[in-house]
Amino acid sequence: MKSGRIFYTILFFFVFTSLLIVVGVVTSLTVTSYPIFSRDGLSFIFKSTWNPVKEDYSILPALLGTLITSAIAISISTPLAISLAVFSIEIVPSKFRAFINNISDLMASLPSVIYGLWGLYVLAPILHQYVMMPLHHYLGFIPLFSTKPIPTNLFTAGVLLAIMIIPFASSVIREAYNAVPYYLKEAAYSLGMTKWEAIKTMLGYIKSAIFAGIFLALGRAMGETMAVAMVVGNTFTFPKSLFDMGYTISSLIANQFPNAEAYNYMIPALYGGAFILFIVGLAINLAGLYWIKKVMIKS
Amino acid sequence: MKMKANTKLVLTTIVVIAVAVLVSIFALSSWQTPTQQTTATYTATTETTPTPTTIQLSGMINGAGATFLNPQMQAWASKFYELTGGRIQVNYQSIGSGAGQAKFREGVLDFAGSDPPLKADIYNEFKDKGGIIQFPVVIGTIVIVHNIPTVESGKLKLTGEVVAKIYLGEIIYWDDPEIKALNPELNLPHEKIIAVHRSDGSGTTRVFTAYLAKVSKDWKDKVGSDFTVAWPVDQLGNGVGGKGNEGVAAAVKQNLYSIGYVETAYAYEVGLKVALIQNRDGNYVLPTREAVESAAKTLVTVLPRAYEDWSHIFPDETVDAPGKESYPITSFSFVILRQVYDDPVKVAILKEFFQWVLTEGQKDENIVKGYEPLPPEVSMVGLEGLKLLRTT
Amino acid sequence: MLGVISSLAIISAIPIFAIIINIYSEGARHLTLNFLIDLPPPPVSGKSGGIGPALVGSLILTLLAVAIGGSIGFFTGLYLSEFSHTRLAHYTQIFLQIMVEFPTIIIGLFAYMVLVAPLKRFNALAGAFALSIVIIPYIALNVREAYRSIPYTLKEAAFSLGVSAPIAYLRILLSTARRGVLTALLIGMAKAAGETAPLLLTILGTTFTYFGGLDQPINAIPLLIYNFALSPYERWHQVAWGAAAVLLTITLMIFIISRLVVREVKV
Repeated sequence: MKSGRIFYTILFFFVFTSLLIVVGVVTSLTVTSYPIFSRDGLSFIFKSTWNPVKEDYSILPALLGTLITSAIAISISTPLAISLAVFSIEIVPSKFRAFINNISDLMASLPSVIYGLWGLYVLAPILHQYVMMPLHHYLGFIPLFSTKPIPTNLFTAGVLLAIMIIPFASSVIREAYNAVPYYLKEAAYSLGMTKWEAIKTMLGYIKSAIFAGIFLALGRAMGETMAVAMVVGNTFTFPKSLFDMGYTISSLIANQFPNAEAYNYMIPALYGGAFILFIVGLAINLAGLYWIKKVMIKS
Repeated sequence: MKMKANTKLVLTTIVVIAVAVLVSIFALSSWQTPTQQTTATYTATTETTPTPTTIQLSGMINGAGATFLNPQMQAWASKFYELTGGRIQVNYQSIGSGAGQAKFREGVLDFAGSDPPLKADIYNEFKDKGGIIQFPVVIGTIVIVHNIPTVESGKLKLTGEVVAKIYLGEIIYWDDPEIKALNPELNLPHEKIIAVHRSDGSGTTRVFTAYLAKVSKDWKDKVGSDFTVAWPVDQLGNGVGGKGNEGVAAAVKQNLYSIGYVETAYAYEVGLKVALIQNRDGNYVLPTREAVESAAKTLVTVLPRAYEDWSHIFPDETVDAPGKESYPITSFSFVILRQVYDDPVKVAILKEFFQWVLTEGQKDENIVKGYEPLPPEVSMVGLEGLKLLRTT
Repeated sequence: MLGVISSLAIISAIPIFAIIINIYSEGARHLTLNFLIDLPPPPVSGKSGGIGPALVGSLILTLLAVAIGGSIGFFTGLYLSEFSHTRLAHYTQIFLQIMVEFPTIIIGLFAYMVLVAPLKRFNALAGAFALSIVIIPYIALNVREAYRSIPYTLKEAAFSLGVSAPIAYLRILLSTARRGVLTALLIGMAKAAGETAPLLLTILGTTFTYFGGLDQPINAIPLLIYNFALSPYERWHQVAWGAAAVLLTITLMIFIISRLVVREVKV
């Protein structure tokens, strides 16, 4: 009994340690960013200047950059992630299933600096020549494609992020799909459904899990720093089209951090950006957890 | 049973790898241990011998700061490591001038490298703590590069004012009358100028914008000079940011009809097209050895002492130096030290290394292409300054 | 329609192959013993050099991070799984989930405040600390999954043996969950080996020193890639590609080991 108590104490100790570390990080974030919020209030979020000479900072363009790149990433990766999950379960011969899943998991574990190197030297030129230039040429009248693209921009960052987050969304969907009760699948086929109709029914059944997977992947996309900083273009302008260069909050931090300490308010401003990212992340996670809960109640 | 065997295999592999790594760590760290022992011997003798060169002291000093200085500093550190047979390890990392100064202030570095000298407020802070020493170690230049396919390198002529107008977004096309007037013999296209600049905070931008502010009143009033500025040309959608020199060079290469500014070393390495720039005396110049020496000579007249505050002079006063041949975007790269250190070994190492840098290190074979050595008068500032180094 | 799904799935897997091929075609020729142990080269003259200090540094930092982050993460994960109904577990889990997505440079600054500024020196320990914070959530959440996936009947059986809690959790149940736990640790290890941003503010980097003590600066492969890839010198770019190939190899090795562990589930 005594060893049990010691064990629980140790357990509590470690949980508190990790909670303490998280709280410590969040506190350091709040304390460091406080000066910018107390000086500028909400105008820190809703203006679009970044002028160190005048110590005038606001992060709207970077926030929009984060939202735009994440939106591109989600809209590209969602169909791909669902396809990958369904493909590995329903279509591929079971012999290769493990192989496909391994590939997906390997994608999840590659360091982001490697994605960044590859994105800059390989992906960006290819996208520029075969995707962005044609889109701009033929559909340039649509505001989304109106800027004459150069290889590194919001769109490239979005596509690179899509590639990076596919495995996260896909594995959540895969697990949920596998967890669907067998009788449901049987019932579908016994109703005379084709394989595609059956898959559609199943996907409808795990709708919540799909949402949860997307939300979790979205969180990853928003926090990614190194890879995005290498391909997003890094200019502080209000984005008007997908082909504009821009910043995301995390790439702004990575770019500006090295010399930020030469100023009085830049460090607080960068932390303010991170703080907002934290709040957005919190909201997205709560939403994601809410969907997951729904799935669990259902099954 | 098979399951168990597999687990064991995997666990054994991991354990073996871990052990191998630990063993190699200890093997390597034991390499380093003699270093620390000699350190101790030296400490004992330091009070009695004022000339440390006779004693085989050894150890590591840590510095960081300007990215611009990094290649040259690595070349020096590497040579010095060889010369001393690995006795002295000078560790310099590029973290940016601003970060270098800030970390120096916080006391986590032995020395800082920086493109601008120490900021006035940090300088004053150190007055009560024994003071600082700062001195130039090498000359750096910035070139204007372009990507006009029909114009060769070294042909396009620009004035500082025109460059300022391009980055202000006032000159938009290459065939603008103002550019044409400077280049009557060139066939300039009617294409939008894409103005490439650094996206990260950088000493290069600090020097470049100091130059623009000096030659253009508009620039001084509207933008100013700093590690990063709010580029007016970005608001027109014609600006492009590149992270690091690498990013600027890549952006200039990828975008036809672009213009950019990079450290000269970089332009040579990457093979970018360089533009001639008009100096104060009205001549169009490239950063040749003569042009840089000429500019440096005029800088000598305003040199403060190593223990003084340099911040009001460099780079704002010294860019666009007079002189027929002078290259206008020329500046020094600085090393910043404290005057007082706790550890006598550190003092001795700093002295030995920077004395070497300011003498032997300035010889051609030790200077990396794209940098220029200091004139002897300028080296003297540092050599005099190093005499102030002391222990508590 | 099934064809569409198949082709989309294949498209999504193309990049990983492209990345592996690209990195090795640029960097594989550097994978020699000398490259692994030599000092990095000066920018122009001299020998071609290697990544010795960075490799040694990465190994030390990674192992330390897994030791620190692994123990905290493991017990946290165990708690999250077995006391999931408590408020503490609920909040801890939400916070850990957010930490996974947090820009890691912020964690670097936290480590700087806690371990660099007070010691007045950039040091290896601060880097390991930052890395362990980065990997705690990964390890904790995966360990939680591992323990949660143990069938309830088995848990009941373990406790009905009348053994104490530590024996039940750490001996009997751990043997069932060990693959998941090991995988969690390996995922953490891969993450720690590849992380760049938190190191920028903590370890400084070294050029000549392999290891000078935990209170001294140290180097790491991702930091070296980041520094050298952004430099003007072709020779440093080559070292960066070579280092990327080494990092990819390390990641692949960790990954393959973790797959060997998981495969037992299917046997």
